[in-house]
Amino acid sequence: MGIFASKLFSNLFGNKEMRILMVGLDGAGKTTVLYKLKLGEVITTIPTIGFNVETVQYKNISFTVWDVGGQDRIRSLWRHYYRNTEGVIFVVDSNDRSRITEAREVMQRMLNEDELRNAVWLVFANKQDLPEAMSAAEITEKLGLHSIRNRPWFIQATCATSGEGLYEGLEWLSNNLKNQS
Amino acid sequence: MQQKPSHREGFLKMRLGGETEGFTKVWCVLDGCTLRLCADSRTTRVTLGPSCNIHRTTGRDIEISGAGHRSSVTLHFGSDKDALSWSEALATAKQQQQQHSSSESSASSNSNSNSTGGESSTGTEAGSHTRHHHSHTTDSAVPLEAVPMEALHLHRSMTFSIPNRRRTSPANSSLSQGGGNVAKGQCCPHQSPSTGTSPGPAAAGTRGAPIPLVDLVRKHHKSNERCCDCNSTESVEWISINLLCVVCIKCSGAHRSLGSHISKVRSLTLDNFTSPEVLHLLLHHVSNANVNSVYESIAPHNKITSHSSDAERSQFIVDKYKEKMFVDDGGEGQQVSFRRLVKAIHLNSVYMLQRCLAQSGESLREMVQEQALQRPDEKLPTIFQYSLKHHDMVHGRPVYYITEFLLFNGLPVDEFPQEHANSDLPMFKYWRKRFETYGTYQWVPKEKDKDKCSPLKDRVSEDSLSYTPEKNASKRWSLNAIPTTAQVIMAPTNLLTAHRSLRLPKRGHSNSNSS
Repeated sequence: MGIFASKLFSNLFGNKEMRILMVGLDGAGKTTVLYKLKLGEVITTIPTIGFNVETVQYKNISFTVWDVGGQDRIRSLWRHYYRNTEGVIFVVDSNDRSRITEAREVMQRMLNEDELRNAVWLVFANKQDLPEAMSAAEITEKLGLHSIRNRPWFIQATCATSGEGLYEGLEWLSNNLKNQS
Repeated sequence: MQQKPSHREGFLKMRLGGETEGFTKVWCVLDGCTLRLCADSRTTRVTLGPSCNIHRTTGRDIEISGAGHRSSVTLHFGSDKDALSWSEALATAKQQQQQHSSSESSASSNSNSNSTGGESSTGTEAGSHTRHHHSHTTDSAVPLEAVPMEALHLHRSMTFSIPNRRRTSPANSSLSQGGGNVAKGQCCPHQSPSTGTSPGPAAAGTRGAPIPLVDLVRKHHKSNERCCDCNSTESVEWISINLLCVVCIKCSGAHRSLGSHISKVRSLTLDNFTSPEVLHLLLHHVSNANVNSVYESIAPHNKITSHSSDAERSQFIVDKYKEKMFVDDGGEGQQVSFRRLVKAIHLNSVYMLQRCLAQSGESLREMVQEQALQRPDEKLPTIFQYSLKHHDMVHGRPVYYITEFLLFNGLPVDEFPQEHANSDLPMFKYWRKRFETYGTYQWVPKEKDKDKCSPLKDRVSEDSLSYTPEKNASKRWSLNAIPTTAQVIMAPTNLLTAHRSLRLPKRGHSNSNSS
């Protein structure tokens, strides 16, 4: 009852919730992004074998961000997190040209998932601070983002260690949540 | 004469490592085929299991044959109590075999019924081969088409293949008679191209239980059982595929934060490795001892242990691999490092390449491109093309592990020559695949690197980088809105300015352009 009351209360004041799934190849920086958003600091991460979940408050929206491990053999577990996901954050390591093709294949497969058909699509072109990072424009082309027609998408150049671009991404998500509801 | 595929031979290639004693046991179903084992010079005893016969021996090679029963052969080596000389070992094995054969006459007569056409299908070369050397092994020459191996339990890491060779080709007679030394790993498949089986993981030949990759890597070198950085033994399942060292999960986190241009971390248990090049590197060239002999050649002042804090760990790993603080470069300049690079490729030495990359003050790409700028008019093969000639033949297919290793460490891929777009040569197939994966680079000089972190809005119009159906429902996307591709640069064509002696043409398919 108490939970219901507080929910009602927060909804009256315009608080919203949004369930976000954060995926990407291993080592793209998903966990670092999550904890930079949550704690505002860079923590030393180890490879995520299961998942991390945190709620991040931005403006009047409470984002529940699920961060799941990206190794090859555990990518098949991602589908268990698809249901009710309103937004996907796909994190790409901009510095690693050798894996951008792999990232494209993984992302295109996800775009065809039925359970994600209503999810808005945000791509983080992460690790922009590194010397050979591809620009967001180059990643847009290499991931084939221009072929997405059935949903809103956006690519944001980010640097998780400095925090650059992360809130711009959340801003876009919050705007598109409003558009849908 | 009939030309049906008549016989299959198995080639067993094992690396026994530096152990002084032990044994290698092979379980197999020979089913009428023969399996040639190339015994090491250290072999002291041969034990044949039931239903297994010595078909013939050449030098230290034994060909064994058997009927369709699961049988085993064991090669002992080292300072065994009852160590025997090679001839004694063979004699004992043959005695054993005679004992077996008396109890097995019924089995061999059964399989004799399969032998129709067997003799006639083997050609002239193989004629001598199929003649019976032992009167009691009547089933030994019966060629059947079944792949004989069912399971192999090996003491050390191994690769195994059963190339489907026709015995009528002259190359095969040299194969079956030439002496190969197993322990050196220089076995037969080097000598002729074949229609070999797919080069899968080392355990591909075992249909029973494949050996996990992580175990194979550990077995390759003892130092791989401990983390390369903190010496921990806990979850040492993470590998840097460009540094070729194995680390624990905590250190892998620190490696990942270096950036993929310094360390590319993968999991030995959670990632799939399919490329034959990567597998070759993982199975034969991963050694923490080698890596530390380079990256810790000066004793580090802040060496970490498994209990070190995250901050200490990160700092040490940054110092070790990014700053290269503990690398003794021997005071050699850049020009020398380029020559050493060429020499390392020339010698097919991954270890020399590791040393060369660690000791050079600049990245591989900088090294190669500055060299190109210095000698713009010489038309010589690039490092990329030069390294393609230095491949290894595995199962009759070239494996470009040297090139792959260099690509992991930042070597730019040359632009793919479009006139070879439909070429079937493995080299061009590999080249095209890598070109598609890596693309070409626009070289950015060092001074401009600082501007790279500028916010995205400064560099491209935001219009082309998002799509919102509600807002832009009527907007048509013109070609102009799509970002242009990265500019194609001229392939650096003039890199081999090293000593003339290093410009030797190498073996392989591609020695035409190395004049």
